[in-house]
Amino acid sequence: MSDIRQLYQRIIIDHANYPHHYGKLACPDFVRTCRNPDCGDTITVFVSIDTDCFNELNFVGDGCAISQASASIMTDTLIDKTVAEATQLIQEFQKLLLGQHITTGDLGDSVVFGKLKQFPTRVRCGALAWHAVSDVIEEWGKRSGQQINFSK
Amino acid sequence: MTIYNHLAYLDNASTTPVPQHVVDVIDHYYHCEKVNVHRGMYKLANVVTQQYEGVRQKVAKFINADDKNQIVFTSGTTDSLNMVAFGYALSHLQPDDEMIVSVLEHHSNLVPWQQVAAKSGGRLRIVKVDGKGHLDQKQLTKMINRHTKVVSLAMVSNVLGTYTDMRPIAQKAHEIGAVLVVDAAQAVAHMPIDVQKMNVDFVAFSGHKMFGPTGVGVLYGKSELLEEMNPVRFGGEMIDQVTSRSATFQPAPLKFEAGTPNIAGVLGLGAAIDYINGIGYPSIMGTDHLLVERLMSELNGLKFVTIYGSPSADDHKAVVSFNVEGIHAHDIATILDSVGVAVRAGHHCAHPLMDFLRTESVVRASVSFQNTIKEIDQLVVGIQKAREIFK
Repeated sequence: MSDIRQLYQRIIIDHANYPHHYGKLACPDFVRTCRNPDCGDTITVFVSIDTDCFNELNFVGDGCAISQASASIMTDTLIDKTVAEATQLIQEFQKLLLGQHITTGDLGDSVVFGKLKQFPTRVRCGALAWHAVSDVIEEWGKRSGQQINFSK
Repeated sequence: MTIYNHLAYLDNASTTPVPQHVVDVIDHYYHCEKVNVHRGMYKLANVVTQQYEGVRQKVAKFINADDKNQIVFTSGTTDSLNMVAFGYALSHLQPDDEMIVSVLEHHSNLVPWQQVAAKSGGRLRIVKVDGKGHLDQKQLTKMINRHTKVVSLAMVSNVLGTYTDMRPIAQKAHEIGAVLVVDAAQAVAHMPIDVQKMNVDFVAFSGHKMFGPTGVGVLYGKSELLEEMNPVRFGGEMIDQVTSRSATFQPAPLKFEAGTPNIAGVLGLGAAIDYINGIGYPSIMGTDHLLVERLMSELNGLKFVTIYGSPSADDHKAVVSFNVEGIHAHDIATILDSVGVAVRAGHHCAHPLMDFLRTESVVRASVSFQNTIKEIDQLVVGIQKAREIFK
């Protein structure tokens, strides 16, 4: 049995209890809700992309500490990143969840979710907010005439 | 009994462990007797057919049905309820007719009726429960009217553990010519089911929630209703005569059992019934109650725990759902897992009930008579640990 504190690290509990960038944006360019039908966790992301930069990224949601903390830490990680950078980080985060080696150090505190691979029933919780943002990037791509597809 | 590596298994409402005897019966079938039923001129085919039909008789006796032909083998409760919905209700419902279910139904006793309502133009009405999780009998009495054709209710709630006495409801339904369908999935491992005493029209339950294998279940129906009911699956085994343009069907129950049935599952179900009969319901119910009483008294002592439904252990038939203040149900379940306790967390296939309870998800601990007080105490240790982690 993996030590449960590997999963519920202080930083995750703190973000779950006091999430960053929580709340709707007044005039977002993109709104996307993702739901995990197995457990009912919900994350809605509100995104403003100026030219190709994540100017603002907020979220609201209901669910477990993992899904909510992951969303909160993700906002810290992705704000001010370009779409290209965010795209790469999303792919890195996907690799992290699969337990694969990652190359960039730009995931910031999100690397804490590398421990999720030891708790396979909770991987989807950690991935939820990132799925929502990857959908937003795909939509941004459509609007700006570029095809961006994430493997999901 | 199935061994879970010292896991305190408190997810029996999801599925129960199987005793060795059930595994042995299934194993014997596959190793020594793997032939088909209802066909084959060789002796072994006849032996297995006798065993298979013997389980039908055993099920009939188990739920006090007066005729073994009232017992249809299905793949489980969901399958049984779908059969009644699409084989019986759909052909009996006119636009403006009504069906009634309760807010605490499992999706398997809700979604099929939604579909029937959509296809028939009939209306699905939802009866509420009171603060303790008991069906609102007054509302139900008012709701049953001359348009009502089907009332379908859980005997025991899979979330709140509340029990509903079907006898008075059957009487009310029958007065206006409606049928009463009972989802007994959550009841069957914990209390005797007497279809004649309840005087209900259809009863559905699963083998895997009563110490049997997965993939097998039962639909009981009164003889005249099964005769009226249409098969929803067609093919081999269920036919009487077939021409290239048309077919006639076997009488019930065989007309509902198209294709090669789950023979191993049915034999395993028979073994599970033997197992339950060997222990006896009085003993099962006594142990269930002791476990639930301990669980309720421990949880009631924790002021940061909210128990859903009745505060009384008597009202929780082997199931207790709760939440811990400030900690999501999934986090509780994961932390309980880390101390070797298996519970379920989530919406428990009962979204309307979650809305009614004004929550997204709950932690559910569900016992069987095989659990121990020590396992209940381990759950309480896990909750305290969760509080520590989330401090």
